[in-house]
Amino acid sequence: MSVARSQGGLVAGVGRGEQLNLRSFRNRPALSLLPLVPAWVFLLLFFALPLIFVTGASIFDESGALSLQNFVRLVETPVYWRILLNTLDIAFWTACITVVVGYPLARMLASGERSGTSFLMIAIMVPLWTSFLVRALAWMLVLSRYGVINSTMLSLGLLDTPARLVNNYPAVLLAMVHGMLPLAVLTMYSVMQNIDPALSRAASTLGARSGNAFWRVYFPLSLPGVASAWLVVFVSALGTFIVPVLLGSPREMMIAGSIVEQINNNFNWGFAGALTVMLLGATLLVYLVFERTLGSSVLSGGAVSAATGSGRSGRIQQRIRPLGGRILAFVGAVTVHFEKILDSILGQRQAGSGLLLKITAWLLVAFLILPVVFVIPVSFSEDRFFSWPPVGFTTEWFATYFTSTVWMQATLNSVLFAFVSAIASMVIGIPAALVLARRSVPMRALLMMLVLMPIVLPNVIVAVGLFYIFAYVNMVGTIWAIIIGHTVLNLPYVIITVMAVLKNYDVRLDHASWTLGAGKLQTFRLVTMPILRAGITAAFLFAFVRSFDDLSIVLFLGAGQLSTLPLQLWSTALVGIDSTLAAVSTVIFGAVCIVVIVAIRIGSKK
Amino acid sequence: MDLKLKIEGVRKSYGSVRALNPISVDVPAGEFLTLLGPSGSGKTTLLQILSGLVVPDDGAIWIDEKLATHLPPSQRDIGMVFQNYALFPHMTVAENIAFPLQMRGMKSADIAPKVRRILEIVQLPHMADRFPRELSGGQQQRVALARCAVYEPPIILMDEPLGALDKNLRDQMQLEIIHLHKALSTTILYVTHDQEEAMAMSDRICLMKDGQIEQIGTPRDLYRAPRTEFVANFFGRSNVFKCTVKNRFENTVLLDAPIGPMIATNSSREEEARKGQDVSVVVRPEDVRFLKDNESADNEIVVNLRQRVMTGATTRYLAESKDNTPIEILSFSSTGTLTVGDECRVGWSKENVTIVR
Repeated sequence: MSVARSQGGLVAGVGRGEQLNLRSFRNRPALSLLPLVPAWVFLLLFFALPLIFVTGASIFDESGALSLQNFVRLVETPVYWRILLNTLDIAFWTACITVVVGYPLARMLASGERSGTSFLMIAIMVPLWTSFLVRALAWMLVLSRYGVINSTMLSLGLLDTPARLVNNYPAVLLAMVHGMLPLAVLTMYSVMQNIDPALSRAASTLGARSGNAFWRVYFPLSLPGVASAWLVVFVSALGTFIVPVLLGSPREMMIAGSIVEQINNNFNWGFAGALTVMLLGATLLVYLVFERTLGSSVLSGGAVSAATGSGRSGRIQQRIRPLGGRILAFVGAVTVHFEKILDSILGQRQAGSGLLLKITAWLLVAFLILPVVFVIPVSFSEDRFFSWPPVGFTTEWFATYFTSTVWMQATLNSVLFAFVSAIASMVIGIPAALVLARRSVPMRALLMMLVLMPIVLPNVIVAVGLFYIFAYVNMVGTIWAIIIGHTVLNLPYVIITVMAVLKNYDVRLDHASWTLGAGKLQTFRLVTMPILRAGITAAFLFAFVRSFDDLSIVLFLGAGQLSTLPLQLWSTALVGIDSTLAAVSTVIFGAVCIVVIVAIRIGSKK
Repeated sequence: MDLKLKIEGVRKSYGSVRALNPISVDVPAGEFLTLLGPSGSGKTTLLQILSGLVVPDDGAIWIDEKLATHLPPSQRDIGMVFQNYALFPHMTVAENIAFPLQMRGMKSADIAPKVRRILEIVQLPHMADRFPRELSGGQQQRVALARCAVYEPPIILMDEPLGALDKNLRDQMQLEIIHLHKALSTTILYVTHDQEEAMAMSDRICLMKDGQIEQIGTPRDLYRAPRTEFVANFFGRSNVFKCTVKNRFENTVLLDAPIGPMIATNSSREEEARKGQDVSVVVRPEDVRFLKDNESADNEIVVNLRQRVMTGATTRYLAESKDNTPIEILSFSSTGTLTVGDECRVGWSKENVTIVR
């Protein structure tokens, strides 16, 4: 696992002597592992146990007798086979397209040209942190009958009647790709960042034209990132229900969507459990296939690198070498051929490919940002429903949002849940991360798997599982159920982010502080904490946003009694595309923009 | 002189790896002692045991005649300069230097002038408000020294502090550290793997190998009177000949070597050389002279010049004796006009033959 390896990196990084110091300071090994206990117990109780419950519940029928009835129904109903195939099909193509489209963007981000990158970073971070739901709503505005594209085409006379752009397969795929792109770019970027730029230069001094230098040196090195990104997107897509429900037709129904349907409309928990087990099985199968073909590092690397930027693997290169090497050599040769033609036309080297990369990247940035930007003028439009172009000017929809007790309560709940669960996951996660990063822990691999699983499994699975155990203790519909649910989702991110920060922390600073006369607590307060502050703040923000953005947990555990902003958006959107949604989206978008820009400013000052 | 530091039978193993065999060293106050040795020789482990970052398996550490073996680092009142400087990145230069004073509960009114003074000593008074990352490597090194020297610890430990600097800067910093040592009259324990650095700076050198002390003494002792072949080879270049003790007359030892008979004079070690024993002898290249026709030496052989390397003031000759034993000769470039292929007579006096283990 790459986390285990980054631990190895920590040890290697501080040198032999330092590693040994830590060991000698551990006088009481049992006691020093104590900080792990809360995280461990929490995840066992609220993650492992629920999964066992779901699996268990799916093998009982309504009367409570042991039976395979639910699975028989699954197998015998062709529609569920179709849903499973749909899910795999949409997730597969989403992952493929996202990775291909995101590659140039990640490459440009990693190339690190000072002027462009920080804007590029904002362009990627803002959509990443803007609710998935808001972005899906934006696509509804762009694609709908009275939406941006149809209205523009009609007014230009390119169309006579509005085209049907929404509620079909391409619309689902488009919105999915748009939704997953930031995640994929950051995952690939984290790997590309670690590719030594001197290697490409070395290749060119060895006589490789830029085409060959790219395909035979840079591309193979970036492949682990591509594989990780593909996996992350694929698994996230498996568990999506927002996009297929809002932008698809029944024919694009995916598993997660039908789980929601079974619970919200049919109240059939046993069958929802069976569907959940099917989703779980599909996810695990994909991991298994990946593990077998590319090595386990991709598995964890995928999830981890998104948060931390540490997902490298030498094994992929080994795997691709025999056949892939020859293919890449061929592709490189073809590229070089075109390059020569381009050179002879332009009479100038390099102008072509660099410019092409830039244009591609900026088009992608427009694709990322524009749909959400269209929502802003609509939120001031006098039209009661989403339509383009906006009509007149009114702040009525904002007034509706700010004066509605339902919306305000939902917003307050969102902030409260996000804040409390982010704090809770910090309190439980940081001590665990400190121990995991700095000490040798028995059964570390098992522990890390428990930590990683909530990230790598679709949220819906966690949500359904938690519903089962909270139903037992009558906690469904309580604040605590939701906060615990969000903490389960946040905890792994906090642990992994803090571990990554610690990996870069030079233990010798602590040693220096001790020899200068500071005690252990003073050292932690005056040296360790201030240096780690940026990383820990990032972990907190990340946890906050994830919780703020969540729909699955609230949908299942709120039980209609508690609402949050995403849930209110969702239930309103299911009824109709009210312009209030545009106002709320604008507010969220604005808030995210401010947070991201401030965060990047602080980051770049460092 | 009173004893500043006493290391008594200190031992440390990591699992099955013995990092430090029982070691004992006494360090008088004000001494500049260098721990020298190849990587893995245990010198850093010893330093870390002294600083309190590592607890020894066995043995005792006495600082100022007080037992300190299990004292935590923060209570030992020793200074340590780290290889990578370990400057706190979130504090300015002045804040870094003020840190140990604050830890000692000094009032900020008293801290400011001390920080200013030490910054002047290390010649960085205008850098007080910079952050470490804004300084060059050499400047960071000086701040690290200043941070350590500002609270005038009676003992300063330095772990390869110049390892990351380039040659010129290193030479300059060597002088500054020597200067600081004199100015503060503290005791310094200095770890390095660079023998030239050790020779240039130390009062005494403790040469270590495989967790053991190979030899401890002044730089001159270690160079002129190495006790083992390892020591001889670690400091400068040497001609080592395997030979047998043929006879002894009081101060003089007669030896049988492949290149012919050799005569050596008494030094403390030679008391141990018994008749018939196999020993090695060391002859430094600069002690081997080219002999003119009318000159003679205690030990003489005829060699064939194979290679000539001019290194500036001196020229190094690689030669071979009749029985193909390689011999290195170092002489001033101004003397002689020998060329490769020449056959010539070389010799050395009996005082320059050192018998080693």
